[in-house]
Amino acid sequence: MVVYVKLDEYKDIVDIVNLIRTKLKQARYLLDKVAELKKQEDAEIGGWASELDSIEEKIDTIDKTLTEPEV
Amino acid sequence: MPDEEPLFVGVPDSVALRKDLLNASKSLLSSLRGYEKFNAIKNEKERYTSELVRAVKEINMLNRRIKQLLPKTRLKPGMIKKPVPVPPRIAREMPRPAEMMEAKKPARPAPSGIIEEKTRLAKLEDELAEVEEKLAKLE
Repeated sequence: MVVYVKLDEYKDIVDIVNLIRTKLKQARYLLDKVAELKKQEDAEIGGWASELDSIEEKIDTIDKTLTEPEV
Repeated sequence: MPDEEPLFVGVPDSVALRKDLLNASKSLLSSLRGYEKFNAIKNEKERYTSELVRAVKEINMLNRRIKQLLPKTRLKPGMIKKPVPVPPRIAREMPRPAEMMEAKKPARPAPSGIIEEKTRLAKLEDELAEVEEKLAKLE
């Protein structure tokens, strides 16, 4: 079924479609940025975990040294 | 006991102990620095997310604008289903729409936030159903 659109409205539609394309590109860029930042967040959390492990290890050593003293 | 001698506990390898303590402090400070970095990343992510939401809303708005500009297609008479006439006796027994609405009313009103969320969700679902219906007609 053919639909006939007024010429000026047709131009408007074409303009809007182009605008939507631009907006979609922008949205894609923003989504990529969010994903990238999420990865960075995850990396930071991973770093925290390993740092906490290391602190725990050191505290264990300190605790062991203090609770098993030379008399 | 007068002039009691104080007792001492020997700590073996005190240098290593001090080193461990300092290293633990260093790791803690590094963790705190990491927290600051994490916070900055989180804030930046929130900024980008809100921009993304805005962009998606704009796309949705433009999409609606296109829908408005496109002419309304007229449905063919065969595509419209005629309502089936209900016999008068059954019609009398059927509850009126107002009565049905009354019966469907919840016992307690939900908090306003939930209602808003539901209406937004309901609107989106309606729109989705509408689009799906149109797609089905086109296929």
